[in-house]
Amino acid sequence: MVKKIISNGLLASGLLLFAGCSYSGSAYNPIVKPSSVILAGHAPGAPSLSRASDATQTAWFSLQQAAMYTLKSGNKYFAIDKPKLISNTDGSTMNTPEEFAVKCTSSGAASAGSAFDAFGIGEYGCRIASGPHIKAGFIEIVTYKEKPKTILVYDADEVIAYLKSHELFVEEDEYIAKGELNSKSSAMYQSYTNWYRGKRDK
Amino acid sequence: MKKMYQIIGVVGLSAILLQGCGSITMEANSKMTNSIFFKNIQPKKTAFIVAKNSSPVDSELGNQVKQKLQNRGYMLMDNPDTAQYIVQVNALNMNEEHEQKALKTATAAGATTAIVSYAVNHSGKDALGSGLAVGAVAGLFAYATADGHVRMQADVLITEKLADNKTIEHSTRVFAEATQMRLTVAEAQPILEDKISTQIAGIFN
Repeated sequence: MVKKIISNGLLASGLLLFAGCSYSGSAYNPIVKPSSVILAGHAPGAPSLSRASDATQTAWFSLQQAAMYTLKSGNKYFAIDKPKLISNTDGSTMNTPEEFAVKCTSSGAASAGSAFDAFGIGEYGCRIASGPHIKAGFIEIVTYKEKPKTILVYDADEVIAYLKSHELFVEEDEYIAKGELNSKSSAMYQSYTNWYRGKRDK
Repeated sequence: MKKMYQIIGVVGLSAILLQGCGSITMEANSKMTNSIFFKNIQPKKTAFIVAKNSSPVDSELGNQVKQKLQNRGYMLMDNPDTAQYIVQVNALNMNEEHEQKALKTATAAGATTAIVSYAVNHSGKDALGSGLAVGAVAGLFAYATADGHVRMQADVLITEKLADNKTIEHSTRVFAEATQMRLTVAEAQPILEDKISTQIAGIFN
């Protein structure tokens, strides 16, 4: 019995140790940036049996929202601020939809984040789809009128063109019709944003 | 008891197989925020280099830039007045980011094993023990295979001399990123410095 308690205790300690070691990042960031905008959204359609596929859809939908928000706000370029894994403001070199496809979607060979699909827990789509619901995506962006010289940015028009040419673009009518509108006035947007802020600011 | 070991084995192996491995080979790339084009098409191949390092780690970036410009046939001058180009490079930052999958993997695998074990054996004690065991192994494996991302940035300011003692300044920022399983700053730094210095040297004919 004592042996069992000791061995279980050791295993539990191991778990706690992994928790502490699993993340590290530099707090030093020399890139001065304007304030970021949080975009919280719910990808269209009901969740499927494949979380990886849902996460991919959420990641693309979030990128579409980033591009659309940029253009609607009268700007042309955007940089991702969070998730940190793909943060341009933290020095990520990823700034094209082609690279996004490789790193953040299930079609990519080296999809970033855990693919712990069978157990229903994991980080998918470069941590964009890691909310209370796999179809909920969170992305923080900074937008620019002119292409900045101090940071790598996405061209919003190029992102939209890529999504359309690859049949990944979701027409606004489609997600409004399905009751999954991500508008700033919607209760869903507010509740998702509040959930995300609470998690992010911890 | 035998059944419990079988459960631990099956669920643990599934966890390890399904949690996703990190990148075994290092992937590295670099990009400039904007291209630089000189006014002089056939300049004198002389340069004066000022290398600074405001990053938190020692950097060989300046020496690498000097070496690569020399390899391109440029003569390095001691006096900026005699050089066609004054190249100022500052290693800005070096940071690292690791995937956070160890705890989640451990929790998921442990919880699943415990549930399956309880359903089969109806023993809370066995369920807890097997859950902890599998969780610990899966967490360790996830920790060992998590990808590390190391990023480096450098500012570049080039002063180009034109006719009649006029000058024109060109600036850009170079970003480099390396990804590999359990990658550390020490391992990535030489690769990133090589990428950035190659990119800077590539501006010159």
